[in-house]
Amino acid sequence: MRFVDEFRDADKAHALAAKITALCEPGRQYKFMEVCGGHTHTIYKHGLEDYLPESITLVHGPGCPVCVIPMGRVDDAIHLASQPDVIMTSFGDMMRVPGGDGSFFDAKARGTDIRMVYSPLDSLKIAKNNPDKRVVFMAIGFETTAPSTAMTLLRAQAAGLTNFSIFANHVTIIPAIKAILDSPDLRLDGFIGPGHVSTVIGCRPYEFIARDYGKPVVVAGFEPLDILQSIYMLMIQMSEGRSEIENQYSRVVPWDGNMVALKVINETMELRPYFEWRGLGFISHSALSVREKYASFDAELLFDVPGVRVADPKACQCGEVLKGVLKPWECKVFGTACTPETPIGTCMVSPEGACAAYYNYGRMNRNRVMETEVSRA
Amino acid sequence: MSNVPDCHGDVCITCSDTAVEVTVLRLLEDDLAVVDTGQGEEEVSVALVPARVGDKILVHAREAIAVVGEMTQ
Repeated sequence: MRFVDEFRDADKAHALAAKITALCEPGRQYKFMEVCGGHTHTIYKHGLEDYLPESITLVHGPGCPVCVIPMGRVDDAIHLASQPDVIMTSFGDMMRVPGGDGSFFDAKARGTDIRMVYSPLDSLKIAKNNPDKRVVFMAIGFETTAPSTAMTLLRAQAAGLTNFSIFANHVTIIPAIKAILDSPDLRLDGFIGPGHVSTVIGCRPYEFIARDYGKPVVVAGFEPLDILQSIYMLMIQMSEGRSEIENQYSRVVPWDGNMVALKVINETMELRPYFEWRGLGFISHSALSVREKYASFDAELLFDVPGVRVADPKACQCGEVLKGVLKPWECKVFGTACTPETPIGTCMVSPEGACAAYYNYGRMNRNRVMETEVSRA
Repeated sequence: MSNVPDCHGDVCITCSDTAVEVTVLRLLEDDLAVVDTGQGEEEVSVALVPARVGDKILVHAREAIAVVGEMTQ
């Protein structure tokens, strides 16, 4: 398939891996975090870790929006969905995320009207077709999804809809990266920057990582060669003692982002003082809420939202996995009590969650990978 | 778009952080466009990008967020 095969060429991957290996200093360990869950997925789908020398460890970051939603927020949404005449609409990924009292699917099974949609535009259609119902969109995602929510809000206003609102759970990536950089648990050498978030926010917001923390960042695409090339670019920076922001994904990511998209986000939403992230706790200015000007579309104002706080299940170690402190297989319940069919933690829910990526592609533990390598040799 | 596809693929193509590349087939009113996803036609919003017929665009949750190959560092 054109535009895909070029980025999955095994010979080129081996050649890049050899160049990466050549840049590794003997005895030195390198730790790079891929921030985005989409990258985690590609890495395990294509077995990219097997191409890399053992001295390079890829640490999986918090860039799966489903994985960072706290359980209490799911309970809030279900409470909201249970109000009279409400139709709650949500992306598919969100449907299985467990709250303190079950998931959206569980609530739906109990009779709550929760419908899966493909985009907020579909929610808008449901609102238009059900004028006697109050349609709420469970808005979730990083800066990649926020433009879609923002445009939908503007379209709802233009259409004069009075029965459509959003339950805003949009998060922003930069404060999460900063929280990780400030975390004492983790020593990172550099970042594989999120690709599609960067199409919206551009590359400039990462400059503080190089300037203040002395770490290189390479914004990367989602094909296997994109990721290997980004690691190669990080290694070149490391070997030359540089810490800069580079854009491997320039075929899609403009340096300044999408100004129109940023404008519509800014028009309709503003930063919350703080927001709870699963595993990372409360992070200031890390999420978006609907601006007062659009209050009539803000489900948090239209409905009574209880603001439930639920502690994560004790056995679940999603927090450590999200911060990259633990590998998924090191979690006590990984692959046993917690599987994609019956997830305990959010990292096992979305295909982009680190645990689900490991589980789905058979990476049950590091030993197993080693054994495979030995048998291949 | 009455039939909403389920997200049963190994990556939910519009959710989370993975966007998809599609080709613009026709521009419609209200900043909407019909695109070829490779698996059929879909209606998406092109309000945030300068999309023309034939362009490859990156779509996320049915909102185009970039024109592929046009902008470079």
